[in-house]
Amino acid sequence: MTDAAALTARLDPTDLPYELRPFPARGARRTELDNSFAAFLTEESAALDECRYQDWLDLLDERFIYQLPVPLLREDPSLPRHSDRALLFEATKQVLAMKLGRVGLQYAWSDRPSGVMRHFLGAVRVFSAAEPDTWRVDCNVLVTWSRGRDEAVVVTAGRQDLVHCSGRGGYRLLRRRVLLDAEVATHEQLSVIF
Amino acid sequence: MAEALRRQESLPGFPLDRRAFFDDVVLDREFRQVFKESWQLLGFASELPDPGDYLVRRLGNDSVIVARDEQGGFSVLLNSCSHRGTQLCRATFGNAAHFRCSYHGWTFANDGRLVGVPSIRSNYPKDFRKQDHDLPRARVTCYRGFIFATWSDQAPPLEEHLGDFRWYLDAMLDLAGGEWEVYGPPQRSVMKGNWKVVTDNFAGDGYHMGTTHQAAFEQGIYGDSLADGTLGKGELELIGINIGTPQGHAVRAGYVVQKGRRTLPSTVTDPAYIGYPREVWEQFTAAQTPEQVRFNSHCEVVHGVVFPNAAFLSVSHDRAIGRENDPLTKYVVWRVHNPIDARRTECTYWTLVPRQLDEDWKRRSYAFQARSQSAGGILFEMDDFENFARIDAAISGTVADTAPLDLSLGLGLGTPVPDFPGPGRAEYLTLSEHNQRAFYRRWAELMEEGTRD
Repeated sequence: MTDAAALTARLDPTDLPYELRPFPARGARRTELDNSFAAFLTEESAALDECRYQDWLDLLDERFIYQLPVPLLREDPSLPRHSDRALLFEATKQVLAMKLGRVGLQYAWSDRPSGVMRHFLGAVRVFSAAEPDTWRVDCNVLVTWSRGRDEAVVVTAGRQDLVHCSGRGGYRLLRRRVLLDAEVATHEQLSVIF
Repeated sequence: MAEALRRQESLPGFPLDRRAFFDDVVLDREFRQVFKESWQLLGFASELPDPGDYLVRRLGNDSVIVARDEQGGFSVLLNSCSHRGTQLCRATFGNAAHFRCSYHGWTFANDGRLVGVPSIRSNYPKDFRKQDHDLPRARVTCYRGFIFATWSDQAPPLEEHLGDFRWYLDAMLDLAGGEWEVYGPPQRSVMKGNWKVVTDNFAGDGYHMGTTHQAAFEQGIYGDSLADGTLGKGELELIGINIGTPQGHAVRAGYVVQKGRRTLPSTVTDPAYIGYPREVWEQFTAAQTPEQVRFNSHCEVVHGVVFPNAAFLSVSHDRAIGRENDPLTKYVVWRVHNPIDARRTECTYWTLVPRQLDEDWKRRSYAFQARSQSAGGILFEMDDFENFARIDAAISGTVADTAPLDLSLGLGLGTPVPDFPGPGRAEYLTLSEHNQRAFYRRWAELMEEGTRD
């Protein structure tokens, strides 16, 4: 048994923080929920694009974890295209709050001048998830970021979210996993929040 | 250009010609005279645990296959078919006993031997010999799990190339019992800017911390990392020590000392390994020589370069970027900076973790690297990338090109560290470009070869 498997076996998975749990598998397809979750994600992206960062942070659960697994270029197309262990980036809500708080700091060089970011969401699909009141929501994203004459970035990815919805209309993001299409991204592509 | 650098070295201020940072003609020369003649880090043995495992990496500007053969040895092979030059491995890693060319089917064993040529009996001349068409093999040496290779027949053995740096590498590895492993496949990204800019930053640039990373410090991303909070932050400060070697390698170590001290204590009575669990400190001490203990104890940060293009960093984070109860935890990252062209660099990052520590610790160490200094480290790494891109954006104008760069910080101001446990000339000076000068001296030596007549 690997160390990771031993760790997972030792504990009830629900005792582990989200970053140590396997990403939830897709359950039953729930097409009747597509529109309402798409509307939530549209507003969520707009908060980022419009720099309403506190509005965006308010949509994250305190346990939120954000991960960009390392893309893998393998010979056999049937094998996973992203690592289940290695990450290009990982953030808690606190880390993201620090990132977004940088716009208020005079010497946050990579955020000043700031670029313009836009999210384009495609094909939002909702699936059941094992945890109560949670749904897995998958979509394609194209994100652009532009600054000055020479900095224009287009990046595409598959995005997988675990969303909590209590049924009273309140949605909160629990997890976000971003599966980049490019095997090796540029530092500008990696500086966007998907 | 190399001539110009040598001429200018006699001037005050150690000026450097800017052309070294944007000109592809210079890079061509670097590939031939610096990269081809040097040992380069390609990866780690723990990335290739099984016979047949292979990785595709860059050795200079050549694509190479790093393969573990059936006997457990490593081969570094040109990733280009001997027939028509086709790339043999398109994937970045995998497992294969043979590599079959996708164009006409020439097949090579994973030690580089040509073993299959379609229609060899019927359509090739009688004197065609397969053994004349094996894949070119680089010299390869695996030192304590670090896989180095070189195309040069003349380069001295790896141990000689490492020189005094070898002692420091041993000390850093022996700190945690000597056995380390790579956590997952490496991270990779492409940055704007010349490969030397990012590399010399790791050699010894303590100077940029207060400015480039001012926002990170204001946000407190290092939390209580200064001496684990055991002595109280206000009572402590950091002393920087620089070691630059004739081979161009560099080590910069920052030690926590009582405020007001200007020198390191000559003996260590109570060793402390910042960022590692206290339960293992005693065990760590027992596994090291007394000199290694003096080097590693109370060391808060250590970074440096293995010439030409490998770099390393070891530093700690705590709950400031983790969970509420996360203890101060060290990460060790090794990197390679490969030029794509003179103005773009591919960075590969490996996080190394001691085998003997538990999975919780390893995962937290990895998370702290991923959150702050990975390819996507938006709180720290991005400000470095920003500055490297800003250099690239402004360095090459007609007028800009005429103004040399300056590397004179600390020139003549460092004082030798008496009784320093490691070899080489170690000097005190927290802010100094001593190590960068060692890096560029070696670079200039190699670039000037063949131009002296």
